Amino acid sequence: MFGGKAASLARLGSAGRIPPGFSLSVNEYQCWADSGSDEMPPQIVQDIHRAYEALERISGVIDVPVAVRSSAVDEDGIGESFAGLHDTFLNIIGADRVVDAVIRCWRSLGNKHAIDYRVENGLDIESAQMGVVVQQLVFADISAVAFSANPVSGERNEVLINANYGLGEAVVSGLATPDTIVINRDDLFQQSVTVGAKEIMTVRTEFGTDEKPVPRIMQGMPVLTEDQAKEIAELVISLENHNGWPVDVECAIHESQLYLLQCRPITTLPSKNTSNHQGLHMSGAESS
Amino acid sequence: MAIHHPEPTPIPMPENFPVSWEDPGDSHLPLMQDRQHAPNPITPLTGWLVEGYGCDGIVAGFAAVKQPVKMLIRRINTYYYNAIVPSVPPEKMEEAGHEAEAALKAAIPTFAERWDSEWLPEIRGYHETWNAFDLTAASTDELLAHLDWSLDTFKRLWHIHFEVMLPALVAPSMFLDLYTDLIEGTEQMDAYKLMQGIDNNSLRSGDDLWALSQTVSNSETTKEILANTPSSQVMAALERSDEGKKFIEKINAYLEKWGNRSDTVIEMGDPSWVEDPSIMIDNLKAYVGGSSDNPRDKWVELVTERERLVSAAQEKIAGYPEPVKGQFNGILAAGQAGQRINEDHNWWIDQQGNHQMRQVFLEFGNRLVATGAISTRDDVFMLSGDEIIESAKQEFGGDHRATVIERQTEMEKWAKVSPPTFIGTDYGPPPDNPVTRAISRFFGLQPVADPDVQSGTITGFPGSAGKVTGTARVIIQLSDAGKLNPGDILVTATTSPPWTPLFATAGGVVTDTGGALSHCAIVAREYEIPAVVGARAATGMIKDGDQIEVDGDSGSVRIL
Repeated sequence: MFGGKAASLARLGSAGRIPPGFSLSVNEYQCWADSGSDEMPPQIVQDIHRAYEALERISGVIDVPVAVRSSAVDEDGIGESFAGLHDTFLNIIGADRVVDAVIRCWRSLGNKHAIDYRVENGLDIESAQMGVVVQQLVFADISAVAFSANPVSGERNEVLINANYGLGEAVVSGLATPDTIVINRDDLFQQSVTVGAKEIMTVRTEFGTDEKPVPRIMQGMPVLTEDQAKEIAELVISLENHNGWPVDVECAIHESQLYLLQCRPITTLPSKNTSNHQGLHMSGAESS
Repeated sequence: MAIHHPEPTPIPMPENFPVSWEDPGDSHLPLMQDRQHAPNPITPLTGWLVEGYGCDGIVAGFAAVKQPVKMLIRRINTYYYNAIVPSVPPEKMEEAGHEAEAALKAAIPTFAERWDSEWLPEIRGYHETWNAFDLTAASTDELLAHLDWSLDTFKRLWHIHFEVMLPALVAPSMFLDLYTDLIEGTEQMDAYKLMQGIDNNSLRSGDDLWALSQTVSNSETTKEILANTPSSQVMAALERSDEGKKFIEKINAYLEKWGNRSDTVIEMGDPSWVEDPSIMIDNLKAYVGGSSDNPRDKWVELVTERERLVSAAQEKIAGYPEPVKGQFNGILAAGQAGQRINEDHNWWIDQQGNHQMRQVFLEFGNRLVATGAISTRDDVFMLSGDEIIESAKQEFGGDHRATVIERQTEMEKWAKVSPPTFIGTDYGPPPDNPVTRAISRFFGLQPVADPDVQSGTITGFPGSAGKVTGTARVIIQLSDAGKLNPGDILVTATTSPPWTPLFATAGGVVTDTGGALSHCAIVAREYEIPAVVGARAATGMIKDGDQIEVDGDSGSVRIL
């Protein structure tokens, strides 16, 4: 059994632009939680080492840098998204550091914001469990969060993209004001481009990441070209069509290649009727 | 403190500088005296040329890079003033601003390549045409046609000047911002080190002069003449011996290459070095009499240091997103090219362009002297172009002698007054954008602290790093450069590229005008001598012979 995010990614595997990785199921979480110790059980340490070595082979990169992300069982389920509420660790290098990062992810289940979220959404706190996704890190030149429906206005006919330079942290965490691009779903025409202040960007350091100011001369530049924005819009539309529910996607561009990092449902869409997309129903999504 | 004026405010006129506006509308212009390029009164003919053809070229250059501004040039009380004003109505300014930014962004990666492969060959072609034209053999009609062509070409030169110099000035300015944003704990002076050790024509002309000075020791006669003869009599003295004649050939070879310039860059009235090599010989004497160190001995170190700092910065941002690294490398390359072209364009356009126009007008001067319309050839600079053309069309008739004297008297009168920097109307500080920032850094327009008379401290801008103490030599005109001894501090209103050779003799430089991107600062950094630029009160407060301390890092000068 995988956590919600891992399951969601597994379904997307066929898109072919997902960085390789492995995941830890809620069984491993339970095993660690039951041990009563903060230490990782030796068997799981061994499993992680083996999986990490396999990832090195698949990626062809020794000491492959990875992203370690939480994936609570009810996270990325259809009803609630938990987006950004649990910790994510980027640019983790070496199996031992992955082990540490996994434990920190598991511990983040007790993160105050995450607990509040569960309470607000009527989810079980006691039985919350967490899987973890470990993926080869995409050295993102540009990171974007894209929605197949406009989460602000509720407009179903619009794709909304937030983008900034660097790794996704600065976009996901809301630490900086990203660019906002609104694209019409029918003709992929850019309805508006709002260049955000982009106060900071997330950059790679030797073992991790850091937030750095975006150079002033680049704060006023649009992050995405029109073609890049269009490509992202096409991706989220195809993901929505594939899943049957409006999606909230995290993606990255590295060396002109677009990578899909996460896909989950938009759970907070204001109800607004548009006649163009009658095939999409939030209720239908909730019921699955 | 910057004062923001919501309403245009008329600038009160100082009592000693009353202005009667030729066009009353001009009183609404934000006029600035460009002391960096023309610290002294300019002749009427120079004024006529730059107000008309020069300015038209500049406006075309601004338009070529879609800047929503135009320049107006005015000779006011004989001084050179210009104003940059919007060229589109206020409601269209925002849209025009975006277009301007996009055009500049597109020009930054391409201007250096276009200068080398497109504009420089074009300019060389114009100089070839000018050099090939036999002025004395031309009929009046031919001469007038040649003047027409020269005026159009002058306009074209100034079009190119601004089309290349806007991106060439903005690129290094952008690099300063980019570098200090990206590399923590660095200051702008550090960023200049990544743009140093780039060869340019100001430096090359200095190199050639130094090489020439090294051949003097081959001949005792030549050495003796250079040591003991006043500069103005050196050529005549050399003529008297075979060894001297050989050396004259070398001087002529140097002048052939670098002599089409005077010590000013706007004024046409000053003789070019090919006409009067005294200034060049002053410099030569300083090289011979001074230390025999090649001023560019440290060149290799500059280049090595630059390469080291570039690698260190690239390593520091290795984990940064590709677009940021791309900007760093692109703007650095453009900034380096911009520093080079800042000097080279001046040689090809400002200096040689002026020289060529001067030669054409001198021929008119000769013919006006022949008919008695003026007394001496150089009086031609006291007339306007229209007056000259009109006269030429009537077989160089008329009598302009009274006019000449009247205008000479006027120039002499105003030369004694120090003109206000700003006149007309104050519209408050310009909007902050890459172009206005670059222009500020070139002219040194940012506010500076008032001089502290008590401690004898004058504040300007850091121009070139380092601290030095020495004897101040206040030199307002290049013709006074002879008094600069090795290690002295050159104190002056401005230094244009023809002053470059002095930087090899000086221990440091202080100027009234200019910013860290000015010619003076660029050359001082290449010669690794401390410089403080834009220290507005410098020539007013520092007296010849004062001991002064120049701190090029903090941008301050102290009279000891």
